[in-house]
Amino acid sequence: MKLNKLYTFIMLAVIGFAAQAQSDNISPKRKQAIDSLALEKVKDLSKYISLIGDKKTPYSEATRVMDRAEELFAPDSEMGVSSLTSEEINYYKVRDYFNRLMALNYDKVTIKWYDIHYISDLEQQPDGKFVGVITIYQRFEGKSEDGLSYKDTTKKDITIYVEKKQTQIAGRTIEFWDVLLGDIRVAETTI
Amino acid sequence: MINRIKNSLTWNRLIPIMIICILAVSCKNKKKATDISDTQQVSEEIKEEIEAYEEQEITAEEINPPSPSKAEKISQYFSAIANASSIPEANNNIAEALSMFSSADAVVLIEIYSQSGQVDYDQPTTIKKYLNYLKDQKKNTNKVQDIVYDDNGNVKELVLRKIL
Repeated sequence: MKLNKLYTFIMLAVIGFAAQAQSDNISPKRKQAIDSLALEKVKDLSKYISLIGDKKTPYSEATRVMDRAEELFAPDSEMGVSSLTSEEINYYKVRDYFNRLMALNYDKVTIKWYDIHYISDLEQQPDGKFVGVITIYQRFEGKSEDGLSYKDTTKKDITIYVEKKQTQIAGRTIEFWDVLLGDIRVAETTI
Repeated sequence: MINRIKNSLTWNRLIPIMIICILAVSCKNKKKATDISDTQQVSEEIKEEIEAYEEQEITAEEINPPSPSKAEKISQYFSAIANASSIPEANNNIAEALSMFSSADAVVLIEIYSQSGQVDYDQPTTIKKYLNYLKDQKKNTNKVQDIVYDDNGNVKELVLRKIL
């Protein structure tokens, strides 16, 4: 009798585990939608950085854009900054990086990200979160009216975290994919 | 006696008048019946009437074009904000668009994937943030999927769908 109960318990546990595993199973099309969502967040950041750096962007707009851009990152994430004049790579908290970017001592700043792609696909971790790496190339150009000019191209790697979360909206439970960007590390800097 | 004579005289006058009226009405009905029996003429008349009505309808539409639905109006604002040529122009459109919502914090859900009743969303946002997103990113890649209204007919929740 006791063996029967134990057998039933084990079976129920196995079925429960299988059901959980099934719910975590993600079809290729669904995975593609999640990949695209994460890639889009990086492209959004690209536009925000371009706006923050642009001297034509009014201060109020730039600070609002900084808030939006900061929301894309996981807490305490850092941005790597390099220069052709130094081998040193400095890392700043993203908000500090945005403030420094806005205060750059040029009259015209152009920042463009291109060739944005995954170098490490989003892979599900044992804790259920997805982690991947996206690479971007950043073209920076700064010009001053007195003739001062600086240009470089930096390859940067961005760690991406994707996690399924739930929230309550008007009494309904909504499941959504929370995409957060992690540290942005400098891979190489060229002319 | 005098009264009886008066009554018979009145009836004597009324009866011929009534006969004349009945004949006149029956003649008119006969004419109508004759008219209806001419099917070709009737169909032509109907055709003419329909054409005249359609012409009238087109003219009315040209003068008073049908007012766009709320979904169309919201879509028009999205497009106007994303394609605005300046920040003030975009901000004016944002202010106008916000008047359609119950508040600037009205929920916006964006569907990124949907199959067999399973729906995946992007992180929920607010309409104010979403409209500013359109302004900043200058792209309009989501279409209106569903609208939830409050008691005053304002939009309190907007569901968008990613255009693939």
